[in-house]
Amino acid sequence: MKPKACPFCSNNITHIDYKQFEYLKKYTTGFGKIETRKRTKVCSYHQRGLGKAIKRARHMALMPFVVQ
Amino acid sequence: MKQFELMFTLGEDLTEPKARTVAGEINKLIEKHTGKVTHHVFWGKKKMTYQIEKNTYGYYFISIFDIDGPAIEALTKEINMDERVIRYLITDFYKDTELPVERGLERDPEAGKKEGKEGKEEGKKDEKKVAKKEVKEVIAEITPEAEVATEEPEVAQEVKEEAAVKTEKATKKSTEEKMKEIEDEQARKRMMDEETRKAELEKRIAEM
Repeated sequence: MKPKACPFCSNNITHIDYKQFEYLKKYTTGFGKIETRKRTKVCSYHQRGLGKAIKRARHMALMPFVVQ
Repeated sequence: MKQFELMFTLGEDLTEPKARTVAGEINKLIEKHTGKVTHHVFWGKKKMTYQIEKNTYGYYFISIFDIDGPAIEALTKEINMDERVIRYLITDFYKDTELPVERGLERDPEAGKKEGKEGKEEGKKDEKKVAKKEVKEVIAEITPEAEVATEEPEVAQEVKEEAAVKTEKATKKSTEEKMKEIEDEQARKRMMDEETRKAELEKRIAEM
């Protein structure tokens, strides 16, 4: 089985913007946690960017820390 | 000088015009610290995902500005002093990212979101359609001329090809002829050699 390609690498996206929080919701669980790399199939470089973007969005109350 | 992006939220106790004036004051703060605001946008009144200082809604503003790196520290101090700002975030601005667009009030957050989503999608689709149409039109405009244009070169190409084939043939012929001549000469030489050898051998035999 081939490993699934990183969606950011294949679309040539270098910087992940925290303002696109609706798109970033795709990479969080139902409880608002950041999804692991095992599930998202994102490469390590972009996973780091994703984490940073989600944390920034959380700080600005655009995304939840916890969904109750 | 480096490009930064400042996002800040103001409390819901303000009205929209008041919030805008406060945002203007913060932009003045940036300019006070030798910064230049290149892009300023009201990003809309949003429902925040959690309460901050008993605010459920917030006025979001984004301003992109050029400033020297060390001046950021003093700026953050001054923004911290302002109690009307609930939250703020200063980040590097990447040139490739799209500039934020002005958004209106979102009194009904769910409806607003839906509208916003639809609007975005529609906008994207429209853009794509327009782009496609333009491309098609351009192609339609080009094709008749292009056909005429292409016909001539085709003829020219044919002529050229023929010429090329001829020249190739000629060169081939010439090379073949040369090769033949060379081969003939070699064959003649060989024949001559053989004849001479035979003659010599016969002479020797006779002598013997």
